[in-house]
Amino acid sequence: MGKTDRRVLAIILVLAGLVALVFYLPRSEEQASTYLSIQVDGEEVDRIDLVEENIGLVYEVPSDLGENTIRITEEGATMVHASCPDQHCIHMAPISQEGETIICLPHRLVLEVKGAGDDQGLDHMVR
Amino acid sequence: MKKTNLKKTIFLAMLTAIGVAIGFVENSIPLPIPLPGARLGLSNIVILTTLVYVGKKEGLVVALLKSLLLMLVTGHVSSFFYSFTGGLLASLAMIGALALLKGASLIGISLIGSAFHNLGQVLVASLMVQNIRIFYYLPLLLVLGVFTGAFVGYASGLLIEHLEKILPKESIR
Repeated sequence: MGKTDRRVLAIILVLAGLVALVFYLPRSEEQASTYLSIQVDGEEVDRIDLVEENIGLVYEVPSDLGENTIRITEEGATMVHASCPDQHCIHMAPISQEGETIICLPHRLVLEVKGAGDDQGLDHMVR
Repeated sequence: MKKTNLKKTIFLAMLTAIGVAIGFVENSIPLPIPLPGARLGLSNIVILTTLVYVGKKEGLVVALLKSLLLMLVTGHVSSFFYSFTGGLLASLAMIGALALLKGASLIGISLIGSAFHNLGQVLVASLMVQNIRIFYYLPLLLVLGVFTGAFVGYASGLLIEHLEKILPKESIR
């Protein structure tokens, strides 16, 4: 690896680090109160609190674009059924941490874990 | 009518086909990222080889054709938008790098291609679902991309080395 190559590598890693810093920053509020934001076409259509009482909850996403069924387990939220041809969303591991997502692209569906203090539409708040 | 170079056309077609084949096999490799359709980018071997061995225009066309064909072959329309943009950005970035970064080896160029490929994929995905949180996965993709990019660069080097022995560059200009 020549000198220029090393520089390129360094720049890429620094960039990765910067993006990670921006998006992985833990919020100042408690992490415990998180909820699953269910978004279709960029609009939040529903929320499910990721709390103990909701474990076992099975939820059908109301959407014209396709069928998706979510289940809340001890490990988080997972997609148990989807009518899309890819089936990528089914194979995703359960999400439970803030910022994690499961996406069903053909149905333009995003399941995102958000913290309790999140305002809708704001991805980052600086206090 | 301008004389077309048949050998060149066939060579480019073969490269594109190989690229599609690699892309197709790549589809069965799962990524730890909920980005449906995000791919490792091993098929960049074909793009980089075309860029270096044939030319810039041809490299770009191979990249775009490959992504179009892959969609037709797999039926995954959603991943088409990512791979198309990723391929476009990666090719443009590699063309730029080849012109501007004289000291870079194929590995360096390929790393740039891979980084831009991932950037393109994440950009399009975040636009499609209207959620900037997709960028959460960019760092991981970039790091994984370093490994595949290095491999792609190395493999392209080997490929070009062997091509030089059997297919003189002049015959495909």
